[in-house]
Amino acid sequence: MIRYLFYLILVILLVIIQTSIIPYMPEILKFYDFLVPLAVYLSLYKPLSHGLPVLIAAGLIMDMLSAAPIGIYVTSYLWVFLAFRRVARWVGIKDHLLFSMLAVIGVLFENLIFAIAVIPANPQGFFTLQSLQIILIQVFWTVITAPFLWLGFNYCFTDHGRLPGK
Amino acid sequence: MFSKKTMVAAGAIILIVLNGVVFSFNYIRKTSFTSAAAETALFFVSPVQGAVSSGIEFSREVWTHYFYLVDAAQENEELRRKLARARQKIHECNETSKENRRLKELVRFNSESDLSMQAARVVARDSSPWYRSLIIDKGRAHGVENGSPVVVPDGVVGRVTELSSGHAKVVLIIDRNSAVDAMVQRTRARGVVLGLSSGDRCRFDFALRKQDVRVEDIIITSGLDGIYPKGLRVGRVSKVIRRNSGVFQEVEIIPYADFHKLEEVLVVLNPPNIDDVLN
Repeated sequence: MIRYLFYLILVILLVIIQTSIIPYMPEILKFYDFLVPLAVYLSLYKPLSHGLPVLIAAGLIMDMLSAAPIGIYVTSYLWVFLAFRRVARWVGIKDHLLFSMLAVIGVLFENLIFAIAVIPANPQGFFTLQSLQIILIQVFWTVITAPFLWLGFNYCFTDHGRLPGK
Repeated sequence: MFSKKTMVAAGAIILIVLNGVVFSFNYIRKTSFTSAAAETALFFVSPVQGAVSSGIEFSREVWTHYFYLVDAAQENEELRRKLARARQKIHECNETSKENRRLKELVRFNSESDLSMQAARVVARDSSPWYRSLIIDKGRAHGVENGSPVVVPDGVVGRVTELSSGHAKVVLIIDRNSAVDAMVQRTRARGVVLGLSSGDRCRFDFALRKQDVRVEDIIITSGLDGIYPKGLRVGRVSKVIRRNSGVFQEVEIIPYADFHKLEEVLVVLNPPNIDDVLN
């Protein structure tokens, strides 16, 4: 119970950071969705029973706060969580590199899901230079910040489960 | 002949008298011998005395300055804290002043308008770059309803789409799901303002090609959508494209509201009733 409470607090903290702090920063500092790396982390290092409820809760919170179609965040997080579950066994690279790589793929994947939602209604509105710029900025910041997030998640989750990679 | 006691007393008296004579003589007239002796003594002793004296003085100075420095350091620390507090206070005053100016503008706009409005503070924004919404700190308990229009003195901001008792989600007019029935103020040419979500621009769609729309024209709400009251400023025309074929012209507008700097907004509590508008 305490574990899930801890997950919930972490999720709410990340949601608050990305809805109440990041939007006030300059355009170039517009970050990606922090909950995608969390989904990647839970996917790689936590069992299904831990990750699934946490990410459903996180997705629902984001869906409620955003103007995006309901369910789009839940879908994104669950796809990322389920898709990367066993990838660590197939790919023989170190933890933080794997995490960073999958975080970038996760962010791109989330954007793809958003594109699927946006394109049918307004195709010309999505395929623009500005859209490309938004995605590139997100990837750039993911590459820069993913190792730090990996360290942060490691630190946060050390006392709440097994150590990553062990 | 004389007792021992008498001899001692007489000797003491003679010595005192002699001393008196010698001291009187020395006071009146310094001899070269005494001057030389004094000079020699000064020559050898004074430097040592000076050194000792300086040492003592130095020690005293160090001692007193040490305490002075400690005091000064403490005072410095205290002054730094006071300065930091004063700076923070100035910053707060500046912020309050700016907020005051914004609120005054809102109040002025509110009092000039016939509409009943509720001021609200923006507490969060949509984290997704693909959708544009914000969360305000007023909800059902403050009279806000689903669909309530949200405005600022500059122009239309958006409308409430979700709400709880204390908060509401506002979809901005630049969001791709937003539509506002509007018209050109100068020519009354009608159209619909649609959000683009990419950049802070909107499209003014369904304006007939034959209608006169020019760059810098002001777009206002028509009030015909039953959501936004008539006559609120939406934006100004930034681009007009009239193709050779087609019924409509392509018009791009820049909204008046600065969505990046929104901190306070006004929620219209008595928007026009759709039945009233239609009748």
